[in-house]
Parts: sequence; structure tokens; C-alpha cells
Amino acid sequence: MSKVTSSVLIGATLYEFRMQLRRKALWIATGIFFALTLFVSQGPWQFPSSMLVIQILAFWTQELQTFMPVAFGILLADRLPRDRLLRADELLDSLPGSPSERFLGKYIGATLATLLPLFLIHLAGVVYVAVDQASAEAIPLGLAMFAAASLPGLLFVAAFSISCPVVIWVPLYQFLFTGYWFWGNWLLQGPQSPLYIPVPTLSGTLLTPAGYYAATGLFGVPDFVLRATAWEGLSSIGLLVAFGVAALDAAHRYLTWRKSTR
Amino acid sequence: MEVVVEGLSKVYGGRVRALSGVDLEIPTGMYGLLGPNGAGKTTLMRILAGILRPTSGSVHIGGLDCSTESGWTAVKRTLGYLPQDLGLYQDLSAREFLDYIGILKGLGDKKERRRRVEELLEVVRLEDVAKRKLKGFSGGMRRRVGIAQALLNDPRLLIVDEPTAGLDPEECIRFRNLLSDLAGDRTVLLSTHIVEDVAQTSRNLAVLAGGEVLFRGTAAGLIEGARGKVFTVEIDGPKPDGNLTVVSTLHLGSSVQYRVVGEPPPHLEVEEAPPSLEDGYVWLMRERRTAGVT
Amino acid sequence: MAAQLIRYELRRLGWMGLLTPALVTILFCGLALLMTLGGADKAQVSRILVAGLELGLPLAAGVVAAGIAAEEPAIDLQLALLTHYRTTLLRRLALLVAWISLFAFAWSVALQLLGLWSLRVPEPFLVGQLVWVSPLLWFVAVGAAVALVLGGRSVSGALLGGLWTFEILFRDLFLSKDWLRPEFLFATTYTPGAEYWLSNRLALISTALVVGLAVWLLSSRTELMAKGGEA
Repeated sequence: MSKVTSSVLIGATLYEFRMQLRRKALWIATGIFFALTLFVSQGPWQFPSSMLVIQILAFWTQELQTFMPVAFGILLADRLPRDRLLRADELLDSLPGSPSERFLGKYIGATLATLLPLFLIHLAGVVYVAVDQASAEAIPLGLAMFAAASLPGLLFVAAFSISCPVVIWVPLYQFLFTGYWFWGNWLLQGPQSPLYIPVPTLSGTLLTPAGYYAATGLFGVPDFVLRATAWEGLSSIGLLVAFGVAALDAAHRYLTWRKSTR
Repeated sequence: MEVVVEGLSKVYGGRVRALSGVDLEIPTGMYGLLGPNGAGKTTLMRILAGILRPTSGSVHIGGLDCSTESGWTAVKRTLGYLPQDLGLYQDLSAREFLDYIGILKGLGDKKERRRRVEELLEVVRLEDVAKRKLKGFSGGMRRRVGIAQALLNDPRLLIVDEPTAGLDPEECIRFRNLLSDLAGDRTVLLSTHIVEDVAQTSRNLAVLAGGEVLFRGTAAGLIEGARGKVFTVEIDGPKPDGNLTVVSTLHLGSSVQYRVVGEPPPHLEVEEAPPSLEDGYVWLMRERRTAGVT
Repeated sequence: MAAQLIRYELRRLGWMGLLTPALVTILFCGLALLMTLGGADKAQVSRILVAGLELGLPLAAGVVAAGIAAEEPAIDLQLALLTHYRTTLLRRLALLVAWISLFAFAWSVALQLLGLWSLRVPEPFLVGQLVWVSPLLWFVAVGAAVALVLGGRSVSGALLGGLWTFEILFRDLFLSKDWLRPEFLFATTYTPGAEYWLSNRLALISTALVVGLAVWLLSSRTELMAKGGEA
């Protein structure tokens, strides 16, 4: 990686990180979503003491992954169109360094910033569990759980939320993404349920970004959403990351093509 | 239509003071409002256009009290406003945009409104591109659309904020002439930081800085303030030192001619020059800075 | 003049705004087709298509409404015009509702003609239109209000999406609490034939009217509007 390339990538990442972190919308939306999560779910202090530490951590991770990623995805969706809206895209195009680094910097910076409040909430829960259960290993375990069960799905969501608005109108993407989150994660009614509809869905497949394959497959959480092997857990992570990279690559190719035909 | 502003102050969020006790009497005709960036010009324009409410003080336009809803409604009927940063609807053409704004300005007679739109498209020389969507317009063309919309209702009070930004020199001249023509029997308030715009159009003006009025009076008065303070100096070395503000630099082959405002040191060979409005403005700003320092 | 104004407002909304309900329709019809090919019965197809009316179109309308309220490129000009901006905003939201309603009504008529309507929706047919009318008004009013209060399209879109997902995922909570049940947006899809259906629909409309009034009051505050910008 040349000097210019790395400095452009670092610069773009830091800029996008700061810009996203300074948005009131990020903190307001995350705060409201977290309050709703707590309203309907259990905080780490509410789990029965009979539960294993690993179970508490898995459920805590799962609760945060239930619908908080809706805010995460939507808050990232306007990052690329924003440059066009502020008419900053032409100025940025004239700067040294290829658009690839800027695009990648935008993805990394905006994603990390949007991830930060989620991570802090997750960490707070993990620290509580560690103290409450007097279990020092809860901290590395909780961090590993975040990295394996939450992060791949969030990176996958971020890749699509940064990429899709290149070709899709932002409000339409917001609508489609919300629908997708339900359809792709939680449409799990079995044929015996009166609410069952035989609609094709990604729910329950390895491409489910909610992360329960990794949670059970890699950490062996008993009595969880489903049972999975370690191989399935790894495959799920691999697939989510690979699809995310593919989305970013497609968007990048499209942007390069559009610039060349401008 | 006379505009009377008394003790006008505006504080944003309880902290940022944009205007501080501004008193102005703006008579019928052209009136220039000069000032550096951040002087409070746009805040004043937005208050006069009814967009912002003053923190204290009063505004009367044509004798109508603008603190009342009925006063504002009456003023808005006769108001033309070109904001500093006018966003346009990308999917409408120039003709459609003007017609749309015409409807919202209360021009109910369709035939008359259309006639007015065509007339103004011609005035701002956009008739050939009137059908084109606004998203394809250059900065100058967008500015001209903005100027046309401000004139739609044949306003008695026209408030234009930085109107010539983005226009080419020829368009600037045409627009300044247009404003001067319009100012015959109505009030045109021109806010700008381009001194030339005011110099070419306004007999009366005010200078705003730091939210306060530094000067109010005639252009001749502002110019007179700099008499004896403007010089030309021709040297072949670097810029003249001392307490001087260089307002122009002209390279003459082996030497350079500077036009300076201030008090030159005795050793410098200078020639006094007749001041322009720009010199008057520069002198005023220097005086303010000096007063601030001492 | 009114017709011309409507034409301009629809043009201003842009092709994407106008096509959004059509895309939602295509999406749900596509799902229904896939289900039919997969051997779904008539009741199941009816369920997904009615869900599209109750879950799909209103959410899309809410997100577009939030965009309308959050973004006005010529806000300074609008606020200086004789026509109050609140009137313009309300007109735009009303037009959006009317535009989406056209699709929703055509959708309902198609379901009725195919014999899929009465499988899920209470009779008579016109009262049954509350399947989509109530959540549509609710989402449009709440979308606009959130956008005006928080001043941004992203945060409003996120909140609408969040509320939508929240009500679906935690519907048992809404159905088990008397004080939450009137605000359950998807009673037709999840509790077909429930005795509280009509009161629920009317409660949603009442909420939409109250929130709509808040939108009117908020958009009357020119200084708040003038600040604009993304939260």
C-alpha cells in the first residue's frame, strides 16, 4: 500500500468516523431503540441466577441484535448520498488518491462510529454480568461473543446500507431495509403455526445476520434459538462477511463506472 | 415603502449574538447593506423577510407593525425575497418553478401569472432554457431563477441577499441595472460584501460588522471618510510596510504600483489618490479594528 | 390553480416518490406469486396480500412523509411567501396520502375481485378499507412529526422502521396490555377477526389526527423550520 493510499484511507476513515459520531441522530436513535429493547426484554440484571454466564451473555447479545440493527442500517444509508447532496462529491473527486480508498474509508469510519454506541451498551451489560456473577472470564467471553455473533451481521448490514443507496433512493432503501430485517431474521413461524406463511425467507439460514449460528456454533450456548455446529457458525460468519465485501465491491465498481461516463 | 428598524437584536440559542441594537431607516429607493462575512447581514435580511423573529426591537414596513400576524401578511403581499442560499426543486423546470412560486405568492390569475413568468424569464435571459430541469442549471443560472422569483409579484419591497454571487461580469452589470431601474418607486435592500455592487447602485447605505451598525448614511459620506487616507505608491521592492492596507496591486514591468489605505510612514514616497467606496469601506473596517485593539 | 399546484407538488415529489407505492405493490405481489408457486393456499396468499396493505404501504408512506417534512431545499423562500409553509407541508402530506390511497384502494378492489378480501378483512367492503387507512394516516403523521421534532430524514426513518419492527416482534405485548392494544398497527394481519378491530382502527386514526395537529403547530413555527438541517 503506497503512502498516498494509506493516508487517504486513514484520512477518509477518521473524517467519516468523526462526522458520524457528531450526529445527534446517532445518539437519539440508539437511545430510543435501546429504551424500547429494555422495555420488552430483560437487562443482564434480570436473568435468573440459575443461568450460566455464557447463556446470559448470549441472550444479552441476542437482545441487542433483535431490532437495534434497524437503526444501525438506516443511520448508515445516507452517508454516500450526503456527499452528492452537499455537492462535496466533485471536490472529493479532485483530491489525490483513488475513490476506492475514500469509499473504503467511508465504510470503515461511518461503520465504526455507528457501531460505537452499540458496542458501549453491549460492554456495559458484559461488565455487569462479570461483576454480578463474579466471573472475570465473562469480559473476554462477552467481547468474543460480540465479535463473533454481532459484528459479522452488523458489518454485513453496514456494507449493504452504504452500497445500496448508490442506486436506490434513500427513503425507499429505509423501507426495504426495515422489511428485510424482519423478513431475513424473524420470519420463523413453523408450518404448524396459524400465522405460518410459506414465503421464501433467509430467516433461519446461515445468512441470518442476527448471529445465532455463531452464538451456538462457536460458544455452544445451551437452550438457545437453535442448535448449530462450529462449522455452521464459522460458515455463517464467512458468508456474511463475503456477501458484505461483494456488496461493497459492486457499489465501488458502479461508482467507478459512473465517474468514467460523467 | 419605508422600513424602520429600531433597537433590533437577535441572539441565537441564548449565546450567539448576531445583531445588537440595530437602528436603521431605509427610505424608498436603493439601499445597500455592506459588511464582512458574519456581520449579521443575513440575520437582518431574514428578520426583514419574516423568517426569524427578533429577540428584541421592532420592525415597521410601510407603517405596518411586523410583530403582528396581520402586519406580516400584509407585508408579504408586497415582498420579494432572494435568500442567500436558495435551494431549487431539481425536478421542475425554470418555468414550472416560477409558476409554482407565483401560485404560492397568491398570483391567482393563471393567464396573468404565466405572462409574468414569461416576462421575467426574458428579463433574466433564461427563456431558451425555460423547459430544462433545474438540476441541470449552472450556479449563475440558478441565481437568475432566484432573481426572477423575487420579482414575480412586482414587489414594493425587494430584499436581495448576495444577489450577484455566481453571476458573470456582464450578468452582474445587467442585474445591477435592473435593480436600479426597479428602485425608482420601491424599496430595494441589497445586502452584499461586494462593494462594487453597492457602489454602482446605492446612494444610501449602511455598514454592519459584528452585529452592529458601523456606518449609516450616503455612499458619498463613506467615501469622504477616507479622504486623505488613500495613496498610490510605486516601488520595485516588496509590499510597503507600516500600518497600511493594500487594496490593489498593479505590476508595471520593473516596478509595482500599490494602492494603499492608511497612514503611510514619512519615508515612503506616496501620492494621494481620490478615495472610492471600497477605500471608504476598508478605512472604516481599519478604524473598527484599531478601536477594538486600543 | 389547485390542479396546477397539485401537478407541481407531484412533480416535486419526484419519480422515486411516486413509484414507491408501485414498487411496494410489485414486491408483495411477487411474494404472493412465489408462495402460490410454492403451493400456498388461498388463505395464505390472502394473508400476505392484506399484510402488504397493512404493513407495507403505510410504512413506505411514513418514510416518504418524513423525507417531505425533513427536507425542503427552498425553506427560506417558502417561509417568506404569502402562503404559509404549514399549508404547503400539509398539502404535500395530504397529496402523499391521496396518492398512496389510490394504490391501496385499487389493491383492495383487486383482492375483492379475486375473492381474497373477505378471507381476512371484516365486511362491509368500505369499512374494511380501514385495514390500510388507519396505519397509513398513523405512519404519515408520526413520520412527519418525528422529522420536524428531530430535524432529520435518517433519524425519522430509523424510528419509523424501529417502531414497525418493534410492533411486529413484540406484538404479544401490545395485545396483552389494554392501554397498548389501541395502538397496535397490524391487527388485521396478526389478529384477524378480533372483536376490537374497529375500535383499534378508529383509535389509530384519532392518534393520527392528534399527531397531525402537532405537525400543523410545529410547522407554524417559522424559526424552528428555518433552522432545518440534519439531526
